[in-house]
Amino acid sequence: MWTLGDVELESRLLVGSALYPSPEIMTSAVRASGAQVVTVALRRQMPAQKSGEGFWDLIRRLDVHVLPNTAGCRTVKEAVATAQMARELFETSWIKLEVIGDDYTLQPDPLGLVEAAAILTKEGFEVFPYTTEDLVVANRLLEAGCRILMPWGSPIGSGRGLMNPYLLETMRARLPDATLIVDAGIGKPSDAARAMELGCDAVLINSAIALADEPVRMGEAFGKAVAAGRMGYEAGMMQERETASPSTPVVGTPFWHMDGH
Amino acid sequence: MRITVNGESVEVTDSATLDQLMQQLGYETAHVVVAVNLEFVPRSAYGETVVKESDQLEIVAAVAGG
Repeated sequence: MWTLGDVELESRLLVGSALYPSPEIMTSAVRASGAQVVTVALRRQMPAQKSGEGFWDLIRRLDVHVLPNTAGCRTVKEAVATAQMARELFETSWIKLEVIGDDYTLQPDPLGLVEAAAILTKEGFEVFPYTTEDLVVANRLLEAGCRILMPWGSPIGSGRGLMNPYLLETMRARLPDATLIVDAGIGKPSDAARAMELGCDAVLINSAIALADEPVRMGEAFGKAVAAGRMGYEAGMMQERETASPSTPVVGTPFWHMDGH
Repeated sequence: MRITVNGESVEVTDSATLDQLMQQLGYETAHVVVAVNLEFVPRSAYGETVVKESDQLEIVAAVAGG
């Protein structure tokens, strides 16, 4: 068990609900992954559309914690209003705060992010800021009242894995009390395991599961990778060495010191 | 008067409250949430929120997201 915000969870995998071939595959993949937190979003709806209602019913039946996002927001004002709308619609004070600063990389705007985070934490939100692996920005977000940080692995949807494991490791070492969730860019189960081995508290995956040939099996694979990586971190990994060191005992090696050796 | 709803220009009754307007536009208020001119308006305030000429409404619902 671990604690996310004020909630006790078993799984350290959070998953997104977008890009799946069908709603049925999405719900099956979420179940197979063991994830207990699922991200959702808000979009414009015309009166005749009833899709929002149907989607929300589907998510409710999964019996998971929902984490709404502010995806697509580019200004502090948009992000704050979106967070407030999400709180009323999804009946949760959790918000994955995205303030995007660059359209090509979808890199977060750190200045807008800190400003929006400060406003929302004062309003009682549990802010999950989508940020880079910049340690100083991370500190500013903690000062703004965040307890959770979501550094990217690599750009959203790129599947490039962890671009900068060294900085994630540094964040872990320097911010031992923050909850670190690697969000974005993870492509393979081994990327997720690596993030967990570095000491991150959890990972959030969407595209890597939804765009797999078999999303349900990939959901299960990520569930296992995250659990294995965490167990490895907790068990304490051996130190790397410069040279080989035989694992099989040398004493009593057959044919030792015979001709030709 | 003309207002903008989700980026589209719409003709509605003058000085309607948000309550009346949502009904006029055909929305089920339980399944959407609203911002007027980039300010969130809670459902509890619809009755006292008067929408003015050229106000910009965003009316949103739940969708899948990452």
